[in-house]
Amino acid sequence: MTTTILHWIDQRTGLVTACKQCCDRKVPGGSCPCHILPSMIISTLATLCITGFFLWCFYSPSSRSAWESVFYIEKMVPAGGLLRAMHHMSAQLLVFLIGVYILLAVFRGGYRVARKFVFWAALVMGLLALGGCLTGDLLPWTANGYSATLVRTKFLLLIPFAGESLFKIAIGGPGPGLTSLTLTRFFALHIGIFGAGIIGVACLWRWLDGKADDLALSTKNANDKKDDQVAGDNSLSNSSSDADKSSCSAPQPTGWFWPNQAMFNMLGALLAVLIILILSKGGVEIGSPADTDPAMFYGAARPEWSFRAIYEVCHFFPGSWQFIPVFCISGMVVGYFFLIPLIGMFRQGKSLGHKINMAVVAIITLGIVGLTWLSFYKDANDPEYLADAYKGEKRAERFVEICEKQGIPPAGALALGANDPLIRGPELWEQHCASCHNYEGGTMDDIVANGPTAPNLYGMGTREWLVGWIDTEKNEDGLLKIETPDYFGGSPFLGGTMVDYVKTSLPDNIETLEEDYGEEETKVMYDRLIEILIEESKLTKPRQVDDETVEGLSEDDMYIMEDFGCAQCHSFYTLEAVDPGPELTGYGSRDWLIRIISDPEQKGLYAKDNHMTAFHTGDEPILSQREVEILADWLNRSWMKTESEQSESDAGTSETAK
Amino acid sequence: MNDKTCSCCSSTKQNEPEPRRGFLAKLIAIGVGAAAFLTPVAVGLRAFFSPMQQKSGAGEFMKVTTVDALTATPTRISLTKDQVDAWNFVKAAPLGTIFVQKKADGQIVAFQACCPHAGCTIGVTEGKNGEGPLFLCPCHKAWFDLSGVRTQKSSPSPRDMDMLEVEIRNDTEVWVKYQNFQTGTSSQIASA
Repeated sequence: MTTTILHWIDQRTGLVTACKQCCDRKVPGGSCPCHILPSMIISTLATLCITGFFLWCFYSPSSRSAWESVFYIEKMVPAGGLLRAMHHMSAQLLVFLIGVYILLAVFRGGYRVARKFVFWAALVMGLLALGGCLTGDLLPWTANGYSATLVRTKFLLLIPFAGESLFKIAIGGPGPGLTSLTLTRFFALHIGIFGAGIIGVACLWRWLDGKADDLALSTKNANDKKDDQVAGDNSLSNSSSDADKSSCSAPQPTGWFWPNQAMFNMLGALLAVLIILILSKGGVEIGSPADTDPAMFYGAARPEWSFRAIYEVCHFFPGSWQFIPVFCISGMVVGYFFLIPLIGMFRQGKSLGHKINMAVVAIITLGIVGLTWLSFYKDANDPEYLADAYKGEKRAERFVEICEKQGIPPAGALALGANDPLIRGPELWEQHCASCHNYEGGTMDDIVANGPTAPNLYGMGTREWLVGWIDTEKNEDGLLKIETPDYFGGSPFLGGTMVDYVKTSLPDNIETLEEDYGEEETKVMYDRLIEILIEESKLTKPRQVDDETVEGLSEDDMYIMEDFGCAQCHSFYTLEAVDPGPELTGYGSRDWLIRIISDPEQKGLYAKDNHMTAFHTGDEPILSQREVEILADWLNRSWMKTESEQSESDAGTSETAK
Repeated sequence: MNDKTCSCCSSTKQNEPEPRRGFLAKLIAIGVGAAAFLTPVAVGLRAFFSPMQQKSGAGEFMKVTTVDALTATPTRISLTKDQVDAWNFVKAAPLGTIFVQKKADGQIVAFQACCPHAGCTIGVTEGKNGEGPLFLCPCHKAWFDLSGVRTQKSSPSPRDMDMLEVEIRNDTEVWVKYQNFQTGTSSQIASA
């Protein structure tokens, strides 16, 4: 019954005969596990395409939704993270396996005679795989992918005459930055050209390999009948594994494809999938959404490992000379590989061509491996790279956090980030404040100015920072803390009244207090003084004053402000200063920070001797109201906290975080 | 086949193919091959079928007003809801319009303002014969009384106005289960 059905199908489609022919194929050299590399490559490619299709069901290629859709896949879709990781890892494995295949083909001479076209097909596959990686890098629209792709596409500008046109064609727009159209274009290339192309070439590759096997087997039979030695080149009679056993003319065994070789092949296929699963275990990071603002270029952007060698070579060439490594050197390397089968025919008797090929490829391979290693090594030891990479990681983590907590608005994740003090604060600081103020606490979040002329604002409003202002202990250089660059050291206030006070009057004041109240009590009062200022900085706006009572402060608190002499110069709610400097009312609070950033010369701030820019006054302010608020919230560390940060601050840790 | 001895290695192997392996090899080939192919397919399908587990947001109760704010004349309320479109979270996106009224006996009644005929928004207007306020759909002039019942002998609308479920929570809060219904059908069929 089954035979009738099969016959019926076969008459109309030829499928059954084709299957039988495939199964009855003979494998030159016998079936062997050593032939599994092509099957591993096919299996990896299949995994790539299958996972690619399912990712395609969720991915959205636009600058406002690409990162967001990847976020969705990772966080909301069941098995989404695994799917994405498998896609990424199978791409890397594919490039690696094709590379191994090509190297083995070169060193075993398996590119010779019958297998020239097989070799060329594999080269084309390798190039298509790399193309897939390059286009795929941009699709998640991460800071790394965006910046790296921008650098790469800009290389096209180095090409004389056609450069600018090629650049515009590549990015789908006039530039200078990448847009949604770049994404749609890269997406189409990724699937339609590189994806479909590699599937087609892979089929061609296998078909050509089969043809080469046939040729090998038929020539071998012919040789047996002729009974003569084939001088030198015996690659006609063997598979890619046996080329170097070249001088023996004895007949080689043959194997069956089905089920012998097929069994080994499938085990190889499973091995590839298992490797991919193991590599995918840790998942792939989400990265942070790309900011197209050129000022936000991601300094730690790096290409994938497979491109690190050429990336490293570029560093040896300045500016527009990079045309040489990007186009000339890589062009020559790729060109050489395509010429290998032809070079291998040179002086076949002595295998001179083959030996040249092996030597050149060995040098190229060692060069690539060495340069790749060097690139990673240099990065691992470069503090600037490590700082940029750290900041990139924190930014990514924070984006994921706020997107999970607040939900992504239709304008995209970047819009959410522009409103977040923890993301936008440091960016604004770097652009506007870091020219004069350090933000330095000995952490990786530091932003250090070039020669600060204003106080270090890291930890503003914390105990450590506040105590520094009135610390009467001199350091080993004989300086008070207030005289160091962290406070007034770099500023014109170094020779001012406050410094003078801490140097001369404050120690006397404290001594008097100790005589009157005793050392212990004075210490308590001193601590309370700092506490008052810490509390002030946690306020949103200044306290309410009713008649002579200040909300939340006792009479004793007001006495403390007088006893230490602060109220002499600094007005504080109901206490009027005799010789007014900046007010301490609401010092360091959100409102105070907003006021001083907007206009430091406002009443109660630094009306005289001010050196700081007013960032929000007049018709065309430098910063918008919201930007000023963001800076204030960031400095005050009052951003939306994670659960662990919240419990830390609830536990009353008023120390600087970290 | 000639008997040959290789001059370099004395091998006398004949050019015979190796024996074909048996059933176990075939089983392994098919089984292992299937496992290799199906693993990414399984992961993909898990993701692909995930929408089956998701619930649509329709048909949930939402707080619309308080008991005290209502009168016998229907109050028109435009509802908004935080909506999720894949990864986008839209705060207070427009959801639809309803009418809520407090009847003489204190019962709270809510109607969907979407006309069951063709989906226009129904309004409240004075009856032509002095009967007091009635519901009128401006598009095809379908009239309904305050209980949502069609007043015309041959009304453009195939059914009466769609009533929505009402719950009073905490004595004063009016919660309505907002739903959309298919237009043009004589029986009420909820649509997604």
